[in-house]
Amino acid sequence: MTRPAHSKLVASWVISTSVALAAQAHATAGTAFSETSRSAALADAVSARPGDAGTILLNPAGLADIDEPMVLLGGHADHLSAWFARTGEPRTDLGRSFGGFSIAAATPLPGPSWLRRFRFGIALDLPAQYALKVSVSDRLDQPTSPIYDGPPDRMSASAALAARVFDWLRLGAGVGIVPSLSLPTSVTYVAGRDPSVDRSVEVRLDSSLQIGFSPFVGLRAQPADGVGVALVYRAASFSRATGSQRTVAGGILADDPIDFYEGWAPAELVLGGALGPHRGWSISTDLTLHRWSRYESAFDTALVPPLHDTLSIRSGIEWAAARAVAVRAGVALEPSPIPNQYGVTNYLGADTLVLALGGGVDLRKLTGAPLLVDAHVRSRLGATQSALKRPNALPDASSDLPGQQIDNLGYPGFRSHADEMQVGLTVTIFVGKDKKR
Amino acid sequence: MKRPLMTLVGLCAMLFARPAAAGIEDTFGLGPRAMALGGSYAARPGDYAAAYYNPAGLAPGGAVAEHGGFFELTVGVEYARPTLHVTGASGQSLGTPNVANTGGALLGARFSVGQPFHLDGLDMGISLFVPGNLFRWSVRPDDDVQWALLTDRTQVLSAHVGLGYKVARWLSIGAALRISFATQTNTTGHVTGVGIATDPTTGNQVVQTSTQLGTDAEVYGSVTPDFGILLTPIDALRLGVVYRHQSYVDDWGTTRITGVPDIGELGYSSHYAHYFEPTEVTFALGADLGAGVDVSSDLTYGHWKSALSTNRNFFGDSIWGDTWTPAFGVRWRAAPVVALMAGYRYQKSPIDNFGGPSNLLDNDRHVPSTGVEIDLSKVVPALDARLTIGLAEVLLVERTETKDFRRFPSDAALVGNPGYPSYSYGGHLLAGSAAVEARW
Repeated sequence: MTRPAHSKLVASWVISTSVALAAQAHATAGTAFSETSRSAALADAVSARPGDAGTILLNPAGLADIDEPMVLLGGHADHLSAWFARTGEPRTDLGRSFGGFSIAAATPLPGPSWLRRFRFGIALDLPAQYALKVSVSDRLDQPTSPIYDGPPDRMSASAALAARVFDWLRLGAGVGIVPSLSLPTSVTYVAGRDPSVDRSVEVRLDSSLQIGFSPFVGLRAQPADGVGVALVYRAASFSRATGSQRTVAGGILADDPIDFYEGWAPAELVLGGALGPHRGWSISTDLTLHRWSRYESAFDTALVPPLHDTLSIRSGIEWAAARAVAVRAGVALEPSPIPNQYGVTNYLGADTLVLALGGGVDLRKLTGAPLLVDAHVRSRLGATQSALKRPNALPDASSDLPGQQIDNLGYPGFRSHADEMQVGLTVTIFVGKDKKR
Repeated sequence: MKRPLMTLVGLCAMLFARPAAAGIEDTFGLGPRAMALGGSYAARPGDYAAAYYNPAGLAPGGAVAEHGGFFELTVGVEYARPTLHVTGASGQSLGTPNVANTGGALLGARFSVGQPFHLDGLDMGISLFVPGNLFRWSVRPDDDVQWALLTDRTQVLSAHVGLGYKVARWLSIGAALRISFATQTNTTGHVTGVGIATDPTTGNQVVQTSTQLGTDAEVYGSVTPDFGILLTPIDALRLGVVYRHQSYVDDWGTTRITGVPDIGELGYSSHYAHYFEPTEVTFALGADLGAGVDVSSDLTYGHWKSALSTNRNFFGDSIWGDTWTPAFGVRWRAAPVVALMAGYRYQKSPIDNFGGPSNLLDNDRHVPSTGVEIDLSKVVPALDARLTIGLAEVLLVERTETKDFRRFPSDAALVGNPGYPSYSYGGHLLAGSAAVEARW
């Protein structure tokens, strides 16, 4: 790295600020990888099922299924058990606990009949411990999980509009908020301006976090009773930090452009199907293509080795156990996009099996109270990752010394593992006025 | 080598500075109705804006009966354009950081949350103003000439969540949260190289350092409480009292750079305050005069003496002073479908540089306003909605700042001050807002 020190400082801050305030389109941080307890219990295989305020991102077309205004409040608690071990060394514990909250609202539009075909919804997910947390290591080879070291610690926001085109067809479209930072900066040290060094510094900085949008669209069709199909596309998104940095300090001058990428989320294409309910049972399956191969580093450079695309499959089953009680279960297989980490980077992650259980109680059918309460428990069980470094793919850490000096934190190889356990609760309040009392 | 590096670190510390500012609520009004009524809104219950102006107003008292569930959604826009000037002693125009136009979307909701518990009169309200930039700030040294409370005060996201409860026909109480954040940034790094290079602009030789850096940045959500009481002794009379607690964005952090040749480690700590909002108490009166006319009057005390500038009062806190802000509003339902509104507010500036080294500009303000409200249900019977449009003109009272040599350490500091020897400043801001409020 040869950029000037102050430029690096600014760059680091730019990245952290941009990311910290970025609402990542695909983060679904409110329940850490899901939007509600209902979808979490079904392993997120909900794109072809009737939707609600909590499935805005999973399939915006599902919004068209709601019949009255609703507000959704959710929360979850998680524990991550994870470790990293360099070959021949003891494990480093990377485990932690975290949680989050979500709020969403959706409503049919009022007015004439053509307008009442439309539904509008918004969703906001917030981590509990921090509003946001970002770690940018001063080492490029710092072991980092793109799954667990980012998404659970970022808030996300999205909004969508859906329509009932026909009785059997719903369409929806929405946007996730993806801000980008602009930061033209001029810093000048004016010797003698004041006896204090600090007071002799003049900073002129104009910064703005501009709102960008990452679109997603969805379709849900019911060609026959008890049969649902869905197609969803979510565009890739990333936050960008741009500007310039000019610093004049006595004999020091730096004038560098700034252009960084962060908060990268892959484009996704989802094909979903659902059957039921039949005798109280319904089953759904989603097949998702994740375009991880387009992933680039924060400095807009290609990764060596690059991530690869993945195809995940998830399935959920729901049983109406009683008039107002539903029981749910889900399973998903998420292949890891991370190839063997033989180069400089040390991305952590492995194929993951998701198992989920949950249930819901519809108090409207029990007490008349317009409430729906859902709960879930879910585990993400990761395989153990192994990596073996190739010395010829690593840089010489010190050209002053003879031979190749390697200081990579993953050399000569490493293993890692991560499991996550989550419990969550979602309360849906139906706030329309046409309630029986 | 030590001095340039320390200076460099100091420079970088300053990069985290942001300006103190207030919100769009006090500048133009939250939504077109509050804007049109001069911000006199603490005794005007019944919509999402009560989450800021008086949370008790989320659950209106008196004859207003909201049985069962209901849901109100407001979607709108707000826009403002400043026209400002700063004129030096010789008649020359003094430059300031750009005061950009304000433009953003409004989103508000009010709905029953008591219904699940068969409790009428327990309502929640949410207000959200989303500007074109989620935030925008301009950092300048305190002695640079700059608009202290206009540069970017309206260019940051604003959010309020409130709960109101109608305890009795004559009494409503409410509490709300103003949602904000605090930040901590810890930067670490190590020097990877120091070299000599040629400045491409001057051709002079300069020192360049190379450093590999990392950051742990944490943004904590923070909330500050607001409380309100709304008395409705008779249907035609409302009395409101509101308390809003002081808030600001706290920003702190450290930077540590290791491996510096001959020195070892360099570092600094930073601590700033952004978007300062003072503790406020508002007393409000609203009355229906008959013939479709209702009026309101608010008086707000702002405890600005405890205000913090971006650099936490780098030149001292004597420039700040408490304020009293009166506001008035009147609405006349001229026809079943149309209501006309007008308002006025006088805002005393909390800042006076008193001839000192700081050049933070702010003026006393006259704010006349007007607006119209159209009941769309009279036009489209199937649509229970209202269209509201508001306009406000913020007139800045011309002000002059003359530097006082007794407040400077030396003649050089006095003469070198960007505001020396004096300047005048003023202008106006034109604001407009429109929104549709629908009810289910």
